[in-house]
Amino acid sequence: MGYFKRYTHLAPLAFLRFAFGALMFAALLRSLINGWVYELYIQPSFHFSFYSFEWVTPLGEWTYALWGVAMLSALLVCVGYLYRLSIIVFTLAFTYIELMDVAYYLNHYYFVSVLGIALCWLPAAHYGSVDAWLGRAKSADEMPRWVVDLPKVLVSFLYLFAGLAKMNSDWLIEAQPLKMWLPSRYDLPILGGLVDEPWLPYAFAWFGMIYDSTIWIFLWWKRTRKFAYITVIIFHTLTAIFFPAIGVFPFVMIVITLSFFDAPWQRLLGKIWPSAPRKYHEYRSWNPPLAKLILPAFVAWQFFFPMRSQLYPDELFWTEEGFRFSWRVMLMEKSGATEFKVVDGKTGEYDWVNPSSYLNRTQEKQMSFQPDLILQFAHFLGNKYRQAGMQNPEVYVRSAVSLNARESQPIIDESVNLMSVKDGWGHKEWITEWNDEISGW
Amino acid sequence: MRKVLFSLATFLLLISCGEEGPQQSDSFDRKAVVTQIVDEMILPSYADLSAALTDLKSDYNAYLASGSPSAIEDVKASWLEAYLAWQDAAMWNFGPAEDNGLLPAMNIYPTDTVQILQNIGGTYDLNSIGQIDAQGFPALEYLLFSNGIDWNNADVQAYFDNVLARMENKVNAAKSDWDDYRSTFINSEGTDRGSALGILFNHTYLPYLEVHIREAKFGIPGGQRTGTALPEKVEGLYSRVHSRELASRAFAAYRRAWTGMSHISHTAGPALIDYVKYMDGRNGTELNGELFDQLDEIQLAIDGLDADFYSIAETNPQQLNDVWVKQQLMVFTIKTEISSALNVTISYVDSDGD
Repeated sequence: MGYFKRYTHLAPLAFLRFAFGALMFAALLRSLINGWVYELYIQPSFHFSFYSFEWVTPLGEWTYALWGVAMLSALLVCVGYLYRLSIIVFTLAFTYIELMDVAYYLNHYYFVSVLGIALCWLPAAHYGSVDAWLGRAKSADEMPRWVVDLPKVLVSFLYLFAGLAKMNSDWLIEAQPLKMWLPSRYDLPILGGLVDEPWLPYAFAWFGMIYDSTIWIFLWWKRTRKFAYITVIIFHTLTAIFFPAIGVFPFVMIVITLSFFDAPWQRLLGKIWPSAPRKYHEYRSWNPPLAKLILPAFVAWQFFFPMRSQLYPDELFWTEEGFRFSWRVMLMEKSGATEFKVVDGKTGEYDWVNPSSYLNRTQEKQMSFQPDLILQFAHFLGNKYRQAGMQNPEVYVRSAVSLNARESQPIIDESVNLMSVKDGWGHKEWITEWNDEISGW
Repeated sequence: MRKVLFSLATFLLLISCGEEGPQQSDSFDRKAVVTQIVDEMILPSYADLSAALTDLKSDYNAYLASGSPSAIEDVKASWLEAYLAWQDAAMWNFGPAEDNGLLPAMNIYPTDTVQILQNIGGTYDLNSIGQIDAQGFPALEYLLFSNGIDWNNADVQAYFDNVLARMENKVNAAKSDWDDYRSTFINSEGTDRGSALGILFNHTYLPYLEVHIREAKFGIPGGQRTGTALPEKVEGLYSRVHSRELASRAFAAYRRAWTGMSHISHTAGPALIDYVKYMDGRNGTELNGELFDQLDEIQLAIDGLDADFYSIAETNPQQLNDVWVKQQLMVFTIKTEISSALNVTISYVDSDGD
């Protein structure tokens, strides 16, 4: 286990801390300026919860305060002031924001939480930070190598699983959903002239699969690192151009992967905030017992959790059991439609409810093809009618979902009373059988 | 592997920089579709609507001058012509139409007869929000067809005049705003929410069928959602015999919007359904045929109904609900397969793929 005795300069981790804080501040500011705090969290009358996180709900007007706390702590993380406190506050605040409504789930938000949790336990402010400069924290130039490597392991998992996820027949053989997505960008300057080329979706599909599954190897390997990073820039810039809806994700990856470098320019932070004099300085002494216990467990969880989908029967893309939190990004095109029927179990009187009366367009779009969200909304409707005096409300859904250009079919059997169905970790028997097959991971 | 990656990257870069060749033969001209919609459907339908309102106005003035019973029949006839012209133009509910509040000024039904009678006897401001269901074609219809209206009352005559004048103003404002909006709209390329295709999908192709035809003309009076029919909610309540004609005209116009047929000559041009067909070719789907079938079936179903929806809703509302079901199928097709194939954005919010 010689690896764990090796030491290295702390600058790459300090740089990661700096870049992470700055990026998160910018990302939160962007959503604030876009008016999304109000539009997504305050305005809607209903929010979808993550399973077992039902207690996490938006805070009304106070949601803005939550944004303020997250943005302020992101800035503090960036400069490394009151680091331990600010990274914990940031991670809690950001994760809370992320958990408020599952309809807005994004893999890169989850990645922010994952990285945040790791950074809570890592000594990222022992170098090139205000804390080190003021002597608030014992500064150190060198740290055990695994401390600097751990975030890179998390980034590698992200790429590896994103790459594995693309190894399926729809993506590689049919070049779907890229065949549908690319033509809609016909208005791009220069590139727009290419989008109708029949080979383009295949080139993107294969390049994307090879890139995701291997780029992390070339980033680790010093001899290929520079070329790999150029590829990182090209790949994520292309995705940002073609799929603007993925927001800040490409920029997060372009900046975060810089932490694979161990280069003199990262020590600039140590020049901006030079460490305080000797008595505050320690040499290779960071050795927290708790972090050494928790971090390996966390890394192991990050490795195994994305594979849980393998435990479920039926097509993953259809049931989405184990789809979230497993780096399946820009992988499929699903669209659905739903109409809900609330029936009074006693009198047989009914009411067809159009979900758009309660949901915004993003929520409605996301719900209409995700079975667990359909179930949540059905329960919301049933409870609403119960409160209004209906004694035994039954809720049924008429649904249609199209996956990767296939003919649409109902995703839930219209004869199932959803009020008698409970969500859980088990296989959802109430999802209809899909009439097609996708082979691969 | 590194070489493979690198050469792939270089390759992608090269092709992205080197594109300056001749127009690809297999690409689809989306702009032509939008141009056809604007120049052959939207603009001429507004022009016809404006002219029809002018005719109505002059027939109305003739009636006021003569006071003869045959002249009021002329007013009724030109009211119907204008109402039908509105059905051709109603679906373009965005841009100038939305900015000018065209829809609420033209066709909110059922009309609020209590409010109308109250207005006639007193003062009113048709621009205020509370008056949206006391004007437009349904209000004119009430005045023309209801037995309880005393046409010798100058206040009645003035009310008709004011409602009609506001309708003319709104239509002419929307029509002239299109002069400026036209090039902005046609040049808004892409499929984002703010693009022409995005706007058309999110404001016309989906909601006009779902809300303005399916729900308003069939679902609500037929009582589809609750099982209780509401005959007094039909379009054309007071004239009684024009409901089907209005609905049929509205759907025919909607159908032409898919098939690219011009408003005036009904000849085909570049059409959205051609784009669907083009995507069919890429995806190996048959949405084009599915859409044609659905459009035909719905049109046939509407045309097979009796003229008077009020009595249908009273005696056999299931007939209205049968049409609703056919429209419902098409709404689902649009929301699922068509929405995927056209890949039109429905919201501004980030999403990392479904």
